[in-house]
Amino acid sequence: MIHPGNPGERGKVVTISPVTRLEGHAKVEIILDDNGNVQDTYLQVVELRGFERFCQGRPVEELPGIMPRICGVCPGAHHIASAKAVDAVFGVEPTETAKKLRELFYCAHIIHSHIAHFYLLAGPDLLVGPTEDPTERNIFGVFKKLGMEFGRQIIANRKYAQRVQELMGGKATHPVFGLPGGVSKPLRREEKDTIEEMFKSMLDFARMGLSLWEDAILRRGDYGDLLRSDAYYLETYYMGMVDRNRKVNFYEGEIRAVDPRGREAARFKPKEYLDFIGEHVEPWSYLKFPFLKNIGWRGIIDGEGSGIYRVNSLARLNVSEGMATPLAQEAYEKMYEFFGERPVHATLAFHWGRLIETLYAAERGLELLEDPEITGQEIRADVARPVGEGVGVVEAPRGTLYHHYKTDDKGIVQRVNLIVATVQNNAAMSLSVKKAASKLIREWKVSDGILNMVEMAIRAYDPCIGCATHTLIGQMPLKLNIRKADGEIYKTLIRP
Amino acid sequence: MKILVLGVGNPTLGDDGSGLYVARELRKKISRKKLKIEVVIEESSSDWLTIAEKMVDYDEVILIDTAVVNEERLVGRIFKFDLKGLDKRYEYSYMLHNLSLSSAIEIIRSLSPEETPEKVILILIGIIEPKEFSDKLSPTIKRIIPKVVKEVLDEISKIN
Repeated sequence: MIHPGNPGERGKVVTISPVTRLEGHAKVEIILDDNGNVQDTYLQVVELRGFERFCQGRPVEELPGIMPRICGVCPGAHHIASAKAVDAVFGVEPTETAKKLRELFYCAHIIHSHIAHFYLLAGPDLLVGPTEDPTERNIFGVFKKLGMEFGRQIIANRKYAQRVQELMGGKATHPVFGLPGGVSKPLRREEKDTIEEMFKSMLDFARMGLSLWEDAILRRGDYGDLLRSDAYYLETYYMGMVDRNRKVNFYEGEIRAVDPRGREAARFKPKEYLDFIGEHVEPWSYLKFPFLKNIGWRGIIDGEGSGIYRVNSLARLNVSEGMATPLAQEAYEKMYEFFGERPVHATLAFHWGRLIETLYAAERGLELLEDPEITGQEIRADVARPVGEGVGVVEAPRGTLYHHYKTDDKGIVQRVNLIVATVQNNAAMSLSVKKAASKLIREWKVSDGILNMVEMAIRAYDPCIGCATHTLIGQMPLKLNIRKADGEIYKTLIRP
Repeated sequence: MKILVLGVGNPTLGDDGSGLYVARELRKKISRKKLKIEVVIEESSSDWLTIAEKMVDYDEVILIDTAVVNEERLVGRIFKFDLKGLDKRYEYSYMLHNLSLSSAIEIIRSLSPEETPEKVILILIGIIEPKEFSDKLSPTIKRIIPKVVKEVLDEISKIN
């Protein structure tokens, strides 16, 4: 869907039109006091409701086909979470081969998403420079910096990750793969060989990404300072899925939360999520603010007393005790050594986490491909009558994703509840904007570079407002208003 | 000569899915036609970069999507552009998850200049921005689909 152009410059409103690199539709309000310093900030999201209602009255087994339509960027996450919820509705456990195939598909999905975010969305800030001229601070600037061959590697490996999902799921964007109790087709030997070659390339590329991180970010003192900077520091709780050894797992496990000191704050099975996650509502935002129930809602503040938690890559690393593959484990240890604290509270470290997870997903994919069961023919368990309710959870690239369905005794959908990652990070993103704006905007000095650095606080979460609002809309701009204390607009930045 | 015809949209967002309906109708018509050129018809609901990646190795692309017009008189109107002809400011508005179509094609072109098609024709159907989820087209847009199909077939005939 294509929307009309930008309004351009009019009156006191200054419109700056380079493309931002945020997935979604959001508005940031920054209110300055009489001295031109930040008094308050708000992050607001415009929501189109009704997707849950659209699902009501349909046979539940249709949902894995419908749910990925929420998002053209992370359909794989919605597809697999939905398939798991439908398994639960039918009370069926997928076969071992089916679980491995789903996890393999999912590793490719994580790689696809993380490559896109790191190089295309965050890369311009981190690799070109946060305050560089906006005409250079884009993907072409990244190519210029890294060279065209590296650029081709970015696109080629992202495409491999997409191709794996296509080979396994029929279609990558809206797969026809997960079915109640399993998957729609086995993996043929020749497909396995093709996929293996692609995973080998993705593994090499993931290692290149971490080398690049070391050379371009860690070895530059100013970037190291930026990573540790107070402008991008929040002490919150963290949540994510871990396996039985408390290692990061995207597909299956328990949900674990740790407090800002790293102590376990909650551990629960996915189906128990409503006992642990509360949702606060603010009158100025359409998005809810999930929080840890056992800690409670204390407002948009960080610290041990506030139940605000974060999800996504860094959160997954913070709640785990390591990575289940050797190279990713090495990279994991290096990150904690760099910061010298655990959990790491540096918001920009979400980017580092993505690179570590990309490496893990590539290693894990190759492990699964070495397993003889991966080409097994037992791809579906027998499905009986629906038990009427089911929860499916995966770690989406952006964080923990909950799908919860209730049906009647014929399996017709009565209720749907989705909690997506971006909504869970809503409070933390609001806090991050406030922290960054307060530290960076001083005495009316608001340059494009400074505003980009405020945006970087949001971008670190890789938000997907399309997912958060359960729609796939054509144009989803970020509007950033800076107001004087009396409400008059001082500056506006629209990033279409 | 190899042509890609790509219908774009979200089938759960009412009229936004029009491009997919056009692609399906075209598939039926094309299968009955004898053409000198190779025509591949695809559907996509993905981001523009993924869509741009699909264009590699084609000589020409015809992309069918919707344009939000939000004016009754423009609903159902068919707009046709050569992507090269659009001015920069307008180009930035071609957003799907924030990367414009033009930018996405330029990314691919900068890396694979020989393999990326020079010509990308956009055929857009004017719609009111959908406010609720639906798997059905509005009556106005449903009536327009055969006209869009004809528009695309005419475009293919010119190349053939």
